[in-house]
Amino acid sequence: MTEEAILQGCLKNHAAAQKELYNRYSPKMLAVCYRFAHNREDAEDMLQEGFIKVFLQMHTFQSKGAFEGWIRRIIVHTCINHLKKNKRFNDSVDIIQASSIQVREENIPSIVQAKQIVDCIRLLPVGYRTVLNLYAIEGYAHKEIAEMLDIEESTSRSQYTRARQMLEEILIKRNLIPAAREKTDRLTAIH
Amino acid sequence: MKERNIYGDEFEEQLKEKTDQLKMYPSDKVWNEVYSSLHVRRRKFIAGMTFLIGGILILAGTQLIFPSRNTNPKTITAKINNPSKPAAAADLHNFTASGFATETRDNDGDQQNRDGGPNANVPFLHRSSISSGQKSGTDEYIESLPEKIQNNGREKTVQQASINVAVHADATLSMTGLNEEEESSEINPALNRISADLDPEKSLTQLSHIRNDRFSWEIYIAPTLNNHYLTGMNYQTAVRPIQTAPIMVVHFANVNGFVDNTQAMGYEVGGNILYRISKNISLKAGLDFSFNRYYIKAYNSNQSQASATLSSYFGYIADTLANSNSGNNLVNKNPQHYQNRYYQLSLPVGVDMKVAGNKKLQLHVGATLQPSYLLNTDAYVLSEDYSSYVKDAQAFRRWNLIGGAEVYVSYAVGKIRWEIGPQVRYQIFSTYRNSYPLQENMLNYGIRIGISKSIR
Repeated sequence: MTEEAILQGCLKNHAAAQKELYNRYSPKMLAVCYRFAHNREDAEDMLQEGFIKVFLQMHTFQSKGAFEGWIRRIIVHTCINHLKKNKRFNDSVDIIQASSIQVREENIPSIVQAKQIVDCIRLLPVGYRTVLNLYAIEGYAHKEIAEMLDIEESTSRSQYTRARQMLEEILIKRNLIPAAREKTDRLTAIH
Repeated sequence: MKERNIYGDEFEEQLKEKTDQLKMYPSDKVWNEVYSSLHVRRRKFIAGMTFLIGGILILAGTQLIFPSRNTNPKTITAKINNPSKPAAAADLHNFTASGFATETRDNDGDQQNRDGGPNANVPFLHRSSISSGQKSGTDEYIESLPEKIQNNGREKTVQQASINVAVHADATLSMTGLNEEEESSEINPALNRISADLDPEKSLTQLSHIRNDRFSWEIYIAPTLNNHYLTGMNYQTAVRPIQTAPIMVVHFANVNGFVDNTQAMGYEVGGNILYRISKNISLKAGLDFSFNRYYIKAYNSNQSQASATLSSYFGYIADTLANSNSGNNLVNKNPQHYQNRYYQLSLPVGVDMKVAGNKKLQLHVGATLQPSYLLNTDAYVLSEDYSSYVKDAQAFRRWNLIGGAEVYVSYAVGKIRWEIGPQVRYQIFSTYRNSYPLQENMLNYGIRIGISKSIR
């Protein structure tokens, strides 16, 4: 079934077309939800809510952009709304202020599996994780993130900086990326 | 959207690349929930409407099939008490006629003669102590009783209430048999009045006044003639020329000049519950199902891509529908008649007014506003260049508002009132969404045939 046929079927509320669309995009979208969620159950709740929105708002899709991107935006917004219902999330993005941290540039070896990276991201505090997901992976600007999360733009920037540093530390601890050069140098000097 | 080249940063680029590789397969529960939320809501709506229609039909059917079920003997207890001898002069009056029984009890519940005493089966006033010689307060009470009953809006309680009749007992008449009734009539005109007031036939007449119930139901069917009117300029023509459109479309864009549609028959069925708020005015609400259609004359052509542009009022393109055209609107050989069918459920809410007539024959006018829901979206819409018809669910507006008006004559046959008269319904909003450049408004004329009955 072509994407156009799926779209037309969904517009007519045909269950077969809806199922086809769901089968095609739900694995990727669940992974997106999983990066934002506390656990898999929450991720499935987000996915469910997101797909209902996708089907109900199908008529607003303009064929100009990529369909997957459109679905993904709806899913991400659903995840954010889901998280914002949680008071702990609101506190965590607002209160935590990152200090000025020098961010290192590290490469992620190709041998590292996607699941390992995502598991590391999920170890971050929810506020950091959300900003990192939105900025580094979903490609939103800090201004947009600030609007989405109802925080200051500067908070988004500092959260991201801190999140990235923490993620790198986790990746290093898990031997998924090599230790930082400075660190290595320092260790060498001590010895 | 982006304030930077987000993937210019190698780390972020790699992070995105890696995370996008992850795929996770949701449990079946997720799809089941999505499916049920998309389809069960609609099913619930249809089930609810069916339940409502079913309820009205069952109620109507019950009233039609078993109209006399409620005509069991009614009991009115009339007490005739002598104020000076409230307990001792207690008498029992028991009569039965035409399925109607009136029973008079004394205060201490003496019913010794009811089932077989010496004066049993005496139709009226078989043992009574009635005063004569003066016009008592009792007389006034009795005389005014029917009025009081009629003026009482709570008739149902009156039907079952005890009617206390106080009679002065300056003189006592002892009536021990049927023949004595005549004697009593001669002796005391007041007694005649009492007898008349307690006479079963008269009582029934009075009760028919009493049972001016406020609620009634009606069901109806109406064969209708369906017209539709297309209006609105094609905004797209003002923005850019349509390559495939005839030159007239580009310059004049008068859609009615480019379609060949003819009216067709449809029908409408429904039911209402009416609540009388005054002598002549009732409020009504109910459920209505209508099937409307009209014919489209079109010409077969090779399948091609036709589009119906959904434009905003400001001219920019909001969305475009693209579909295979089913019929070509331009003149060609082999004309075909397609049908546009609309199935709608409506909830009429309005007013019904009796403008003239008597109990038997009445003239009514009514008006309703009807929120309606379009059940199907598989009708044809005209493409943006008026050259083709396409089927696109996206163009249709599900919820609409219909205005209805009717004039009818109602004629009472027994407890049922038959109704017949013309009606008109106009769909206030366009069949299509606002973003579609054309507006289609349906206008249906019909003859409404129905029955109505008071709810007891």
